[in-house]
Amino acid sequence: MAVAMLPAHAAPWVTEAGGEATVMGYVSQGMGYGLRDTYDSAHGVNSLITTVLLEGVYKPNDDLKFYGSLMATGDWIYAARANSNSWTSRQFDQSREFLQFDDKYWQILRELHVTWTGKNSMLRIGKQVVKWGEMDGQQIIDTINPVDQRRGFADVAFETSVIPIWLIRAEYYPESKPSWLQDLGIEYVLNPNIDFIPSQEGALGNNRGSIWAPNVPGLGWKQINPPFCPPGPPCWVPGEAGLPPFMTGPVVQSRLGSPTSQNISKPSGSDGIQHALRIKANFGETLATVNYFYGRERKFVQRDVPGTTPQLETASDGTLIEHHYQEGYYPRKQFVGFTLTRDLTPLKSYALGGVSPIVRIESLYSFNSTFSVGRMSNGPNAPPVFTYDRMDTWDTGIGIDWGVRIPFLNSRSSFRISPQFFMQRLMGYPSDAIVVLTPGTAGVERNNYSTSLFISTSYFNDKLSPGVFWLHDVNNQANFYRAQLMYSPTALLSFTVGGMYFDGRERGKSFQLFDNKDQLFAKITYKFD
Amino acid sequence: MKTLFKYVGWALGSLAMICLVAPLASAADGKLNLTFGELEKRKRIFDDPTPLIKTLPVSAVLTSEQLAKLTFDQEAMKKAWAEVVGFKAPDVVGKIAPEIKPGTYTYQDRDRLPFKSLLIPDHYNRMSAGGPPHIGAFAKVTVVPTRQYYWALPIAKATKANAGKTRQTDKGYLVVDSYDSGYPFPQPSGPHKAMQIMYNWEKRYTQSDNYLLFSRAVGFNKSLDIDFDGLNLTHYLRLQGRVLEEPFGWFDARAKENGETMAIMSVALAPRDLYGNVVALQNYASPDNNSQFMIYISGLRRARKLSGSDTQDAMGGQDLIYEDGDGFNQKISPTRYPYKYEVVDEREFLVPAYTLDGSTTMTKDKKEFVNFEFERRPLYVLKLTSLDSNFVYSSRKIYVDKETFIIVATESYDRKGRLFRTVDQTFAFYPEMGMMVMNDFLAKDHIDMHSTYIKGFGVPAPRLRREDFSLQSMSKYGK
Repeated sequence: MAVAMLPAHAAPWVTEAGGEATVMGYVSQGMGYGLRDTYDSAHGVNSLITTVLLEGVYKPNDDLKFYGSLMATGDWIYAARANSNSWTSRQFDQSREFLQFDDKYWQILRELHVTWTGKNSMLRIGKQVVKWGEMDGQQIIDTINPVDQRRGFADVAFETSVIPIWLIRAEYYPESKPSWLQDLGIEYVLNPNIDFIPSQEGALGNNRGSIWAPNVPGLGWKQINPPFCPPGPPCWVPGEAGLPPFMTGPVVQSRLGSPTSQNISKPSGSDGIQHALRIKANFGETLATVNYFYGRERKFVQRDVPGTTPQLETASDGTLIEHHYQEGYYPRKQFVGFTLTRDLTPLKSYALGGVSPIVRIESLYSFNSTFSVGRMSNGPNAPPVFTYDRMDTWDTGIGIDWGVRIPFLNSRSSFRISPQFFMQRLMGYPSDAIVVLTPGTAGVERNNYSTSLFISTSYFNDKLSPGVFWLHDVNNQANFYRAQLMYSPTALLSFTVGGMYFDGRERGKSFQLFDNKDQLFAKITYKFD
Repeated sequence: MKTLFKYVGWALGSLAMICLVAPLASAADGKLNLTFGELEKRKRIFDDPTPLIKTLPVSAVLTSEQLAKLTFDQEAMKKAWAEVVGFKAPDVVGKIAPEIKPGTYTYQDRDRLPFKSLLIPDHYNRMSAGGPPHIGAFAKVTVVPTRQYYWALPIAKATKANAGKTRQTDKGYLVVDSYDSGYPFPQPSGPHKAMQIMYNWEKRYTQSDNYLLFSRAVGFNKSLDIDFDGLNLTHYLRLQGRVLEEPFGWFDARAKENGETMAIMSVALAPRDLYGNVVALQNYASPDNNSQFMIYISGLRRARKLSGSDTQDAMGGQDLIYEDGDGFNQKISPTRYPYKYEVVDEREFLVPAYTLDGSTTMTKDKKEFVNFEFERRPLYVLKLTSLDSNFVYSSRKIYVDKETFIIVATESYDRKGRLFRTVDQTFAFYPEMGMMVMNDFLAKDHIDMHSTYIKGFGVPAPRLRREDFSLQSMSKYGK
């Protein structure tokens, strides 16, 4: 389409056909600086991520809109530390293949969709994002799009963490409704499974997950002394194996590394079709939705292939790395749920600035969700055996957004305070399980609780924005803290610096897995429109 | 690569199907489909004296039938409005500093002639050579004879028909059910005169009953470098007291039942971070009901509810809070940040005139305002003293045109009594319609030394419906 005029600023172009076109995007350069010097962390500069996003909108008329975005992501740390002994000896360089450049088509082509809006209806077709949830940080009802968590907690922007997929989304807004109902809409989302794009999890092993590979402790192993081990490669037995002391050496600590093989089967064809339905209504001071989903998890459940034993490799710090043979799949997911958000006017306090807090709730009941359940079936000295168990779950999140004035800290702008509480209950939790892993392989208990708190404000006409975030895992007494300061001299340029800190009371659980990943970060972003 | 082609092909095929079924009529009845791109083509923000109102008249976007309904006999409007307010502006000015006569003056004349006695303090300070820390200097001022302004005939008729019917409580607050349409207090008087003036503003008929406002907001730091450049398309639908466009009175049964007075939906198109953000707002007549806010955050692809009481923070890097919108956008309420209202002065001032051609502009080098005519206008000066120490402002001074009830300028003071923010606005006047449309808006932060200039262009939009202010519309305009 020929462009009749290119303004020097944000105004959309006028095309010769009479429509409007807009091109915009951003370029960002981030840097991570590790504070710990352990096998599972890289001290010093440990990431140099460049992201370029280019977006285009074309509106031939008021009813039709085309939107597309392309993204290029690369991490220059692989070039910068190619000759660093601490980097290569810990195998971070081997993750280059997975994390240096995002080169899959669906990573480069982020969104591509067309939207048609009629009098009471809307249809959007193409690669897109559908967001349903009300919570920040943790997803409960947001299950339609997969997420990208490969780069851990450092790069959590919307564009880099939510993966658009091929969907058809139709909305209908009936004209006839009671006068107390301001809005009523019905939304149906069909995923025809043209391409099954799963969530991208943080991978085990420095050679796969790089600096964000969780430090999951293994079984610990003992080497069998000669002559009990035949000549050849060393013989290892699990650390808890009850052999006489003269037969073995001391227990050598181990951690889980990348799998030797990982056979995760994807649903194909009609097996992967998903249906999602949402009814949304706006009434009084309340915005509410009722949701239904039938489809597939975007995260896989997995287990060790029965009958296999892990391969062991000696790490540069003298510990062992376990490489397991794994298999898994993307199980069915079906749930009903609701979201609700409204003003809590009675909690308004004029002493705090007179702003009513907004409460956000989302809750779902999921039927027959699949978990990978580990049990001791061969005695206390053998590794657990995993099976796939199904059970219902109930997930709920409650959050509050409150603008509070604290004049002695900031006389010009409010503090934005957002506490959240999350609960997950597994109905029919197996009493004989020693570990239950969700899709995504997080360990869970029968009842799981976590909280988060985000506080932010701004100074100097929104140019300086400090913010702190705290996520607390109640069950495991583990914490993730993040503090950042953003300086935006203009609306198109921003500089961010900050730090992240992890801790956890129980080894091998929750944020303790990232205990050595404490780091500082910085980012510069230039936006254009 | 083959896979990529497969999916792109699937998408393009779908697009083609939609194109076939989508209505492609982009503009009503062959009229111009007004867009930001089109506006940008016709008038730039800097150094462009194009008289946009003349070169892009309302007739370019409305059908002749639509225009006919909004156009009235000018003499009839003048006569009716003079009866409504009880005077014509040209008859009541010219008494202060009469030596300042129509003609052109430069900032060097500022202290040679008694401009200080005739200008609002902020305008007096700005009658200077342009330069930091704020934009909007009037290096050259053309004084024109005072004109009579008026509102559209149906507004005058409604105001006249309802004169004396709108009641106030003993504390001056509006008895909600007693207001019907028109300006509620065309000749303010009595112990609650100041509140009557503010209620006239609250019920204002600027623009039209339904309209679109295209606005470009440009922010400047204290070195006058641009640090914000935003575009907003705002839809307005008056729900109560409609007199210009059908349906008259209440927009619908729902508006009447719920006491809804105005629906607003604002779509951000720039800067990049805000593109596709949509704010929907609904106002209520009852002083106890907060406005309802909802926002579609395009960066998160979701609609969120905002607290209707969350109105004290500056909007997106600009120099105004929600309560500063249009000069004064605050609910007049006995419970929510109440004020003591006083008329502290009532006299003529020399202020920027309502533009008749839209040729006002700003210079790129010094960010001076040029082509602004000044005229003597009879104004009320109101002082609003905050009775709630938790409100961001301790007091506000508001300059209101006695003939049009338009707020010309606002000064807001922080809790320490320092001048915090000022706003002044110049409307465009459409004589054949008796209509005022936002044209130039300047907001300044006198503590952080920042300025925001908003250039507006509003057009009546008779085809706006409820659905244009709904969740559906938020989805439509969002990313």
